[in-house]
Amino acid sequence: YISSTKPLKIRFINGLSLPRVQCPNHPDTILVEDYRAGDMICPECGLVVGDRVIDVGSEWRTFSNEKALKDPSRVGDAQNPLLNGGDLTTMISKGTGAASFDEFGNSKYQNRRTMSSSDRAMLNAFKEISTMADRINLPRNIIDRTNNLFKQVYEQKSLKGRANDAIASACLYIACRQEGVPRTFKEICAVSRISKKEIGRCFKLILKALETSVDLITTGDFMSRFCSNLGLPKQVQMAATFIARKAVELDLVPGRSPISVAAAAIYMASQASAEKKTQKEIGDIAGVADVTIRQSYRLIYPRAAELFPPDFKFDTPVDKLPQL
Amino acid sequence: MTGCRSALVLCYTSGYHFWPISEPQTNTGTPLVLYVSLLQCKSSTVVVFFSDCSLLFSLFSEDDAKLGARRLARVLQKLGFKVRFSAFKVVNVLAVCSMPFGIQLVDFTIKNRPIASYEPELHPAATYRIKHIKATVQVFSTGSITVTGPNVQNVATAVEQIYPLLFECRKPKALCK
Repeated sequence: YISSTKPLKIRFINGLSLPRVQCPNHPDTILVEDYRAGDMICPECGLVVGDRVIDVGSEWRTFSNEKALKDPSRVGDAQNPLLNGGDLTTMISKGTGAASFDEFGNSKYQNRRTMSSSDRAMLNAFKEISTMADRINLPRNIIDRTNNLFKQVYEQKSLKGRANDAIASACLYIACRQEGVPRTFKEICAVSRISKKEIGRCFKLILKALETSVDLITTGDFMSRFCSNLGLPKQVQMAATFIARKAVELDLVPGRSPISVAAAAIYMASQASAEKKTQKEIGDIAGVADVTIRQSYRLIYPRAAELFPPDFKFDTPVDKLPQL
Repeated sequence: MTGCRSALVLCYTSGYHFWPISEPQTNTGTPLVLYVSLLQCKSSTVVVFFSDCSLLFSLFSEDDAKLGARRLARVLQKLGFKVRFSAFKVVNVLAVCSMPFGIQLVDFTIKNRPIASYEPELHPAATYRIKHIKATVQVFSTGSITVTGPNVQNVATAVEQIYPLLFECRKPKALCK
């Protein structure tokens, strides 16, 4: 490439006052960064537009199996300034040498100064959210969304009297819903110390406070999770999804929670295939009582033949399905 | 009516049909419940608090409510307290109504998005809050609805308002078994 450098052309775009590095001949192309030489190069003409770009990667390699006594990295963690309000304080940790203790044996520098007392509760909540989400293996985007929701609710202060854990659990529930992968209240209950009632109350309050609403849950949202937890093959899962959807369309189960309908559909599909699961097993996974599954099953049983997908391979034919 | 702990204990030990809401503990104050008979066929449940107020439940019209409150005052007068009947107010009216058709809650919620809310996991009914008349309507899929509001007029208006919305989302007869 051509290695002649031109002075940096910094342009101010209307409205934005951020300087932007651009190639003078091709202002619209995205520059390629050559990290080894520290250059920004225009891919169209090969002009080196910016040089001596500071490499923001880590200074030296650190391995996880080395003793973590001395961490040579001179920068802290990647902070999340958007959520924490831009905290740039420095903390002094406990000293190690003899000079850090005064005559009585107490450490000279008393404790780490309280970092951000106003956001301490928020940081605690973020930690709690992260723990809860980790227990059910939620991805990073849901955790970020939950943190954002919590921050909004916390700043509004309309739910100030409620336990932070309750608000955090409810935010987690809303975030899962908003991302299109809803978790049942019982699943959130299982990873939180708050009761389902309280989470439900906070959920309604948060929706009112943030003036949002969430989509309704459908039976299909839970099928893949429940079926894979039960170890059912893909055919059975697809059959169960079809059964549940058909049952709701034909309105065989008015007023039943979609989760109960899903559980009954899984039961029917599994009983018709080679992998038969008992109501108790399904009830444990789905968080529904087995009487509830029985109730919903009784409602869909009469029209079982229509509910199965047309290309389903029956291990047990429809008329031999258990009648409860 | 003046309230003090010993007064309530006196009520409890009088011949009338009083009983405490929870375990009677002399240190803490627990309100007492009285079963007041109004007329031959109607009766009301009353909760008497330590402070000056008491609540009456399960009455069928606003006039009955006033009558029941007066009866309660009379009962307390007979026990020897200085009672004055004041500040009577109807606080909440609950009405139950049944539509001749079933309702598809999912459609109903989708059509009335921010005002209606339906959480099948929490409660089997869809809740519809009408802000300007301060009434709440709970819609069940069988077609029965529950309306609560501050007075009877509001409740009647709420039913009139919600009927067209329910009619749109009714279940056609063919689907019902």
